[in-house]
Amino acid sequence: MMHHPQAFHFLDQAGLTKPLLQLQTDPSLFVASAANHLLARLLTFKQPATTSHTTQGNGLTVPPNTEEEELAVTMATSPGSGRSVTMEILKHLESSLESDSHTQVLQGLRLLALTLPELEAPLWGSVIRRVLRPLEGLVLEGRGGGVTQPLMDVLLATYRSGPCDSRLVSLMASMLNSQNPSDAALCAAATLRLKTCPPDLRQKAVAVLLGPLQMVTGITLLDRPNDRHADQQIDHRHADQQIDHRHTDQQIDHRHADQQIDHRHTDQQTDQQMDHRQTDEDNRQTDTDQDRQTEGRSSLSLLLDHLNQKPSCISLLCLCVSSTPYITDMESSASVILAVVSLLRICNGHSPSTESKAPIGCSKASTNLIGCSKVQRCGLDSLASLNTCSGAVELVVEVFHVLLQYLQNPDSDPTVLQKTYQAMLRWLSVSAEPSSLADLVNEDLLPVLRKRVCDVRWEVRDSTLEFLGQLCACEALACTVTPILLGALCDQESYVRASAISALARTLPLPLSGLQGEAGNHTQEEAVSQLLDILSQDSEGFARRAVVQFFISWLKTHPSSSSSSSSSSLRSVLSLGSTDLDWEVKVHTLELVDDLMEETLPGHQETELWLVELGVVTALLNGLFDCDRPVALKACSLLLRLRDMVCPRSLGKGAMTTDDATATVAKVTFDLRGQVWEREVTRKLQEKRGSDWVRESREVGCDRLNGNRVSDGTDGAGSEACDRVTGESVCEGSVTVCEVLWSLGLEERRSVLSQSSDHVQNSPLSLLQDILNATHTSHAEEVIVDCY
Amino acid sequence: MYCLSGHPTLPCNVLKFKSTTIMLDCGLDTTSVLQFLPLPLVHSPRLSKLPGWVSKDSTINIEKELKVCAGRVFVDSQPEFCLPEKELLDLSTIDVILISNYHCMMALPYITEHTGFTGTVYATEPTLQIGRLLMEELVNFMERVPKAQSATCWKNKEIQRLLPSPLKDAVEVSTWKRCYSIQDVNSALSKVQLVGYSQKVELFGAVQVTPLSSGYSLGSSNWIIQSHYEKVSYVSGSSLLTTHPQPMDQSALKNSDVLILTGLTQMPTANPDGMLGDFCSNLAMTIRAGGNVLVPCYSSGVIYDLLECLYQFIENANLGSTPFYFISPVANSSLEFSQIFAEWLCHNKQSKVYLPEPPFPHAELIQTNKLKHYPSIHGDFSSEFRQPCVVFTGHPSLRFGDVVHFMELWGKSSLNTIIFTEPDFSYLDALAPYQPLAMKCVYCPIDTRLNFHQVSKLLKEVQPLHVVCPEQYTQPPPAQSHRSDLMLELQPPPMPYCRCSVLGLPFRRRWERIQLLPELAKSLVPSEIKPGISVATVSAVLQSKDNKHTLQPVPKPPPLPPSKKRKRVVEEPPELLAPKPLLSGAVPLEAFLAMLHKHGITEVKVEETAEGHILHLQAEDTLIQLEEDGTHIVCDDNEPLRTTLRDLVLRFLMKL
Repeated sequence: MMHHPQAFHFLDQAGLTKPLLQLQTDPSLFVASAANHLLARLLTFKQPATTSHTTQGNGLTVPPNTEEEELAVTMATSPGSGRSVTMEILKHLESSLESDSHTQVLQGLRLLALTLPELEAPLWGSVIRRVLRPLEGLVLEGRGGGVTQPLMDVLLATYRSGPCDSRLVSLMASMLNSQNPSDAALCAAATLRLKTCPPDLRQKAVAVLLGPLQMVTGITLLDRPNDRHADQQIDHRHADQQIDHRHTDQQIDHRHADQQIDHRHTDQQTDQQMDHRQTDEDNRQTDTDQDRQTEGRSSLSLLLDHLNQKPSCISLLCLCVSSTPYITDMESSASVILAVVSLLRICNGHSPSTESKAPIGCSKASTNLIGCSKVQRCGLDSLASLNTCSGAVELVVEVFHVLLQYLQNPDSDPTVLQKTYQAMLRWLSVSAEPSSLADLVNEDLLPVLRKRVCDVRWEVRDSTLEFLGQLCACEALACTVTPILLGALCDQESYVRASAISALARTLPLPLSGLQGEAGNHTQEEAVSQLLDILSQDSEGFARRAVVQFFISWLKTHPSSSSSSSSSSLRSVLSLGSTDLDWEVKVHTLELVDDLMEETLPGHQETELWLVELGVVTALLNGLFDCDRPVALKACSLLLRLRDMVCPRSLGKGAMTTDDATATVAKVTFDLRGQVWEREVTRKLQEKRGSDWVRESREVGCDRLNGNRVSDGTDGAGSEACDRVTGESVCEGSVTVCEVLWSLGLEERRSVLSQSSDHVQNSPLSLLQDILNATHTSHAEEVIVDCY
Repeated sequence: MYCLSGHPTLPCNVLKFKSTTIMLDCGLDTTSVLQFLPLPLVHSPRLSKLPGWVSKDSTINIEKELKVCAGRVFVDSQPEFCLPEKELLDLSTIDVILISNYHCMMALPYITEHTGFTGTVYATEPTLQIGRLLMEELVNFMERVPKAQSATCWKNKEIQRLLPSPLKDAVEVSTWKRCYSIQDVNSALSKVQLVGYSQKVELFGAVQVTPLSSGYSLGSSNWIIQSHYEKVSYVSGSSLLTTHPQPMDQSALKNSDVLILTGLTQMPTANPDGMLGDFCSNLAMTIRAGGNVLVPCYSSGVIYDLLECLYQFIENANLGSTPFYFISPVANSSLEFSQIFAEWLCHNKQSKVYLPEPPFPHAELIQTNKLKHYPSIHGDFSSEFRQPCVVFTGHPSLRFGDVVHFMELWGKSSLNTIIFTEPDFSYLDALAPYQPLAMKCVYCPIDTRLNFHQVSKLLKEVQPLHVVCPEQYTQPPPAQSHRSDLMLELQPPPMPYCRCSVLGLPFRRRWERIQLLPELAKSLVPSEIKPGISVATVSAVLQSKDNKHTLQPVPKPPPLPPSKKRKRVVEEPPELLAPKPLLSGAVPLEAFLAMLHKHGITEVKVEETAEGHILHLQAEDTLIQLEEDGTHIVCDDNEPLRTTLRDLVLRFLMKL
């Protein structure tokens, strides 16, 4: 109801804000969440209009501008304007964030995260001004334990929705310093995904994420061993500066840097509050300076503890490794790839690398990872997206080896293998010289793929076949791969058969190198006949759908006119596909018809051939009278197109044109005997003829009519002469295509079909029927009158 | 505990426990046969024309014993096995042998025959029957191709030292012995007494032993060896995977003082499921390409699971027309035995028997002629043999049995594949005398025994006070030293053993159970000293017989002989005096002083000591030592004073 101002006023006047605020902490999560959404809606419902958007650029370090002050005054003083609601919520929000209750803080943060993206200046500014301090409290005083994720959501929402602000950035930097490595990594991962991010903050996030990877794999990812440490130093003091991007050299004397910052602050700062905060922070900093050494060490041992426990180790590394694709702009992207490769090796039970520098304490971490398919999947995903970064080319072989290890490992999970294939494909395109990989593909990859095609698990067979199909597209391997694919056509699992067929379809555009000429054709013919068998006999829909799609791609590479065998295959596909039990098979068959029409129309020499002999018309009519609406709709629109192209309007009326081609088309007849829709079409034809006869007799009078009858009789197209009234010709079974097309009332059909199936329920007619059903039959007449 | 074998999965340990001597398993280490030349079933020109080995300086002349084949030196003699240590203790003193599974009893004839052994062997029925099959098969393999020659010279320490690797590094060669005879097998197995799971077997009244299902193979068991107050669990070859045998019984292992852990998986990095999958896909791949598959395996055990897996797989992989052959002297018995041990099977298979259906699907494979079994390659097999096919045959070491023939037959074609599924032998060593080999080799070791992850979970559950295990389990495998997860990490650390170790097991016997006869119990007068705790004094005769202890009432003195004529000295039974009452309680110092004061003893000097107090009655020149477990009154020849003081002390104490 909150789309309506009345509802808002009702809530306001009835004083319902208070109970809503209470419901925010309801024990039921659903209620609490709904209350939060409603509150967010209330806050954003009636935002005071802003006169200019310049306020957005001011940031938060400046005092509130006049507009915001005005807003504050109005909100405080004019109850009933709706502002009081906003005021009340804001006050509550502020106190929630300062509360000691975990639920309150959590809900406050959630509300904030929901609201911030919707807010506009000046309300945005005033909200931020109110909550920034409590937020700082949460972050800096460490009260944010357990709410890291929502807290980070709020910070990111603030960052995205408003101007870049130093206090905000410093808060985000503090979040990255979290003592809990999981929390820190969570924040870092979120930070990296920001579109724009201050470089220093970004660097820090990178350090947080690469730290665990470095520790486990022993590959140096961070420039100096104490990098994370150095990063901690940037923290509060440099945060303010980060916006200016001036401070690029981390190595400059920190004390000196401090002076600079302070100096600048005194210059710029007019807000006393800020000065106060700065002093606070400087004090904190001196403390930290002294404890820095120990802190660095303890953060390291914290990380180690974290890695030694299986659940935390896995989630942390998943997060880290999933974020690596966002770190590729680094100079050391090659070592990032190496680290991911190394991690994948560890997961497979191999030692990370020969020159591993992993500390002893991490052997436990690596045992946590062995056989962990979650980390494996994350790693493979990342590896797949790392293929574009600099240095990838040199590492292709290394990457291939680890991917091969995964393919060869009998314990690899099917999902892991699937990801391995995806990564393999991406990396296959990396190699500068394809020939350098040819040996690798032939000697190492193909044997293992051959084995995987025989795997016990159908999922593996399925993804292997899919991969083989994709492999064919980028490598000239068709002659090796095609027999494997053909072998898989008789797999027991329908998904696998379907994948084999789809993969075969991918090999179609390739010349069958090595199998050219006779042998190649033979293979293809064999394949086609096997596919037709599947279409006619397979009990599962997936395989049959794949067959029809195979022929769709086949049509693209083999024009229908190319050979008699191909058109006979097409005929089989059309007749089998259009009478299939599966509606998707039928729709795909109609798509095939669509392609056929594209290819051959207009002006095809042998229209008769493809219209009738190929079974296009039959297939379309099968579709038209199908009980599945999508099929009928598709068939209907195709028929309409066909009618408009082949039988222009004039023909339908029985008149002749001078165009020879069209004339021939007009004469094309087909046999409808034995079709399920024979009766229906016959009836339509008779109706049509009847009405035409009546209309025409009205229009032109009897003379014309008689004349027409004579001419119709003589030109012999169809046998219209054989009485419109009796419909004798229809009984003979042969009718002209055009006449049928015009008699079916396709436009009307289309409009009925294009209405969704529930239009009946929503229509007044349905209501009427319901009313009628609900009443006693004795009063029926009365009700009908009423309803009328 | 005396450790007679160093092989972690083929253990042989002797436990001396409460006056009994119990041997736990007697595994036979057959890896020694890898040093010998294969025994071909039909004459092999290649193997018969091998050059003899000559040392570089030609000082050693044992050309007849050692032959060079494929660049390696092999002993040309009937293969020999490495026996358990016989010198560590007198084998005739062994009271019982407990067998945990049929793979761990292959050395039985060496222990029970010709050693003076007079004890009993305990095993479950399937263990006995299948163990017998395996032994008969082994004897058959050896006796089918007799080799007159026996090589002994090379075992001379001085000569062995100079031989090339790996002969040089072979250990305990002096204990290596040729295979036993069928008579030895029969005689040894006649000493077996059958037991069922959870059956309690009393050994001399002192110890009770109980077999528990271990889930590894048909009839495989772990053993509980316990007295009333001590419990030792022996875990050997157990599996938590769902395969054909009854699942493992874990709960009975709880509260052990010591758990002896042997027979963990030999392939900790190879997951049996993955290996089974790999086995199937390699098999399908070879058959599709028109090649044959050779699977060297034991004639019982994993083969049942392999056949079951293939039963499901061959339909899927369109291998329906490919014949499967199982060739072993005991193939028929093995396949049929497996179907009749219903009570030893997993629940799923047990329930099939009631349908009624054979528990294993290989019955159907045989019925439909997809699986055929033959005693050897001679006879029917040679006429019915059709390729491409899959052959299961022994022995997995590739040194004897029908497998030798197939290696010679198929080794030259790269279309064929040999798939190793038994983990007992290194496949490279097994293949060494057949090199160069064109045949594809696939190593899919399937070992369903506990892995380190499962065992640490198990130990967490059953909480033994101490764990004893082979030393191999206390460090990562040498080839994968970075895998610290492939070892036992326990608190307290496990006690490792190796061949010839003698370990004192870390528990002390402190208690013994004694029975009280009902008539004696009736005469007791308990008095409650604390709520719920009553005490009574007992006068009785302790009888110890068959390691059982009983308290009986004191026999009444026999009535005096009625005749006075035949007077003779009758040994008087010991006079039965009523026992002095037992005192309990403590003497409170303050109250005692007050009491003394009341009785006119006023000059008391109290001295505190480590044990209690010394009271010096200065006027009487008397000392009273009050200690936790006794009170002494030291006075000089003043009996009345002593009595008074004694009575004062007794006032504070309780009499029983």
